[in-house]
Amino acid sequence: MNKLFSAALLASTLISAPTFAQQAQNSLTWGFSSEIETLDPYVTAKRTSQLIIRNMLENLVVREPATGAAKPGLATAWKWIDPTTLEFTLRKGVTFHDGSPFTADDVVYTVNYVKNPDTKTSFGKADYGFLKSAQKVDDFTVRLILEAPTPSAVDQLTQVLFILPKASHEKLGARAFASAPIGTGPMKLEKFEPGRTTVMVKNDNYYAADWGKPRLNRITVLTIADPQTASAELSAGKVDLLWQIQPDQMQQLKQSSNVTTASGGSVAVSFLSLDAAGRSGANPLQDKNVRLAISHAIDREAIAKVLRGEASEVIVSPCHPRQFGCTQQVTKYEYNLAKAKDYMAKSNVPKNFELKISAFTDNGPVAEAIAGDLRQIGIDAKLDFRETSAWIKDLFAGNMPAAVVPWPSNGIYDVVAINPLFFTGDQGDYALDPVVMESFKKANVLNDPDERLKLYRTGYEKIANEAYVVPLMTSVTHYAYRKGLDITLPVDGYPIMYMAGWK
Amino acid sequence: MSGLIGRKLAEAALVGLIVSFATFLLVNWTGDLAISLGGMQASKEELVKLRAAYGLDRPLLVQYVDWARRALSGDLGRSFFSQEDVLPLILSRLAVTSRLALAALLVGIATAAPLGILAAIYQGKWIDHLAQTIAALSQAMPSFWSGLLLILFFGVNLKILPISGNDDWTGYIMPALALGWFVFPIMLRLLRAGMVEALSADYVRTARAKGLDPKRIVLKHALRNAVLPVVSLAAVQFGQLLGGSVVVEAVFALPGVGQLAWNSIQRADFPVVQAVVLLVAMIFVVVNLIADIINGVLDPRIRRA
Repeated sequence: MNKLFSAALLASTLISAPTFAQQAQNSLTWGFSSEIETLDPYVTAKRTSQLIIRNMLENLVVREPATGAAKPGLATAWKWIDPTTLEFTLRKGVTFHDGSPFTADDVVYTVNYVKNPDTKTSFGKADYGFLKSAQKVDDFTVRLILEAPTPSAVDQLTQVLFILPKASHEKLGARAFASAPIGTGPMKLEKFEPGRTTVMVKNDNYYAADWGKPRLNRITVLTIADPQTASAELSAGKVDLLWQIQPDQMQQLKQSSNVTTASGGSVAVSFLSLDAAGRSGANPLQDKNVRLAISHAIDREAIAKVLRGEASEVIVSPCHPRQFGCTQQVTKYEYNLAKAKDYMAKSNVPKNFELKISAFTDNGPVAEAIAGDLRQIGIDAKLDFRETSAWIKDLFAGNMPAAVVPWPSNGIYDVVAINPLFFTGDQGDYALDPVVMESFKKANVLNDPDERLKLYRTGYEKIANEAYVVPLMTSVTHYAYRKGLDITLPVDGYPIMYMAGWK
Repeated sequence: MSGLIGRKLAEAALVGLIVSFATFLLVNWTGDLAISLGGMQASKEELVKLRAAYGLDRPLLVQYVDWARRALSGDLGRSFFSQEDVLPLILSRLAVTSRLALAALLVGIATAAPLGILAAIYQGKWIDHLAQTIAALSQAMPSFWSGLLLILFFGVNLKILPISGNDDWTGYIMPALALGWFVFPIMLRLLRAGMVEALSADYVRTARAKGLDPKRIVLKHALRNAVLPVVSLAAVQFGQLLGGSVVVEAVFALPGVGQLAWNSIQRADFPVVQAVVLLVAMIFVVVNLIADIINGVLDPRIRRA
């Protein structure tokens, strides 16, 4: 059905000549697949919504899209005072959209607001667990006190801690602020219709940031849930950019003469969790031979290329190769059915044992592909699809013998964004290996990079040797946009729209 | 008539109680609001804090009674995600869906009525076969597919209608056609069957024997009887369109109540889900009551009963 639609769409675009009003007006319309229900970054834990908010509210540091490096944002410089204290020099002469000046008081207010247990709206608590408090040194110097040594703190601050204007936020209250946010960002809110559209216009008073000045006059975000409709809107000229599109949608749009398609990076990875510790009850996966057989039986290369796209890479450790500490120098298991069958023969498990592979619906095709591979070595693989939160609940309750785990790492370039939940004895840990737990726990709170790397290597080597999980692949972010749009594809998969412009 | 209204109101209360309780249990059993709120990376301790903060650690029955007590006083709560009050949130979305459902129903009736009447009059002739073929085609073609075809033709090729959104009334044309196309076959079949039966009834034969105008026989005598089940069906269809237009809303990016319900179910935002289900159930009851009243006006036997 999709192919038929694609062919028809292509034919339509060839015989029609779309007009691109947005380009002429120096505006950009972004087709978004998910609903933006609020513009309060402390109400939504969704990175997609925060991506829109980031145009209006800024962080202390900005991640450079091309390299992923932390660059000055509202802070012009920073230094470690001690392993739990970070000092920031704030940018002078910055004003909020309402004209009020930005100072250290706003940073302190934001941190206090987020850390206040009565702030019931701060859902992204996992994002702020590393922060303890903020201290004003002077009007343009502020210190962030951390709960524990957090080597990835500066990188995390590129993604979290959107600075609120103390006076306006106090006056408006969180609810009013959520639909009419005031920030220091390069764009200002013009219109917000939850579930449908967000319109932002250029902030003419924006300071001279290190990356430059905003070039677009207007950015409109339209929610279009259906991928085919979104493709039609791009072809017809109403939408200029689609993000996080599916590989088949990209193939379809590739043939359109006025559209550029591209694949960019992402920090997300997927792995197959195996219950080696027997948390879900005694099971065949406690036998190392079975885990080794599974590791050899899954054709990860094919799954990665077909289901994630050509740019997807097979991983050998359950983390993203770009993340600090994610060593790839560990035992590798190539796709080899003969070896897999040998390991199955060596194991003491009953023939054709049943194995439930759980996934939430988005990852259904990956689970199906894995199940197909496992059936070839005599495992009766069954599929178990759940709604996302129900799936997470059961995974963390220790009820899943095998599960396809996709992990976004919240865009953080450090394995500390992935290993605490899965390999330090916490709720997602199905290995419960003392060596792994000990080395990761130590490394996560050390500031010495060499020592950290050494400890992570110990942990990941043990995970690979014991085949506790089957690392699968990296995710890829696919884009389709109008020719002439000048946009830097970010290494983390989260495009910064205010830096875009028309050529 | 007052007895009928009283009976329907009692039914409405019972329906409201049952659907709200069933929805509450289903949403709680199939999802976890604390995880939806805290995200995948929320730790065990954070989830405990979240559950305590929102009263989600209380027994389900206590939570339901608390919700029902507030709902009875008109407070349907707030969305856990957008922090908006549920009632205005739903009403704003319901306006979009109501317009769409009404337009789709009109499309369905406007196409089914003439074709159904002609098919009955010319039973077994080419026009009857044509009508039945169109009905079969319409049933075989899901609304999302017909929606995509409409988009290609009117939106991408001819560029005369907007592909998505509801910036003005033209945004409703294609969704109404796609949804009306779905309503059309059942209405056509029911109307045709009713007309065939009515046209062979004794009173029609008598009217013909008396030399009455054939148009008058069809439109006044036969149609009046054949239309009774169609009115009841239209009421049920309207209720179904309100609750079941989620796919068409997704295809045409209409911010309707179906989309809201779907997104809220996915993230276990139960105050919104509860309110949507309750509202749709109440609309079903009211629409059925209206259909009963209309049928009573059209058919004196129902009035007397």
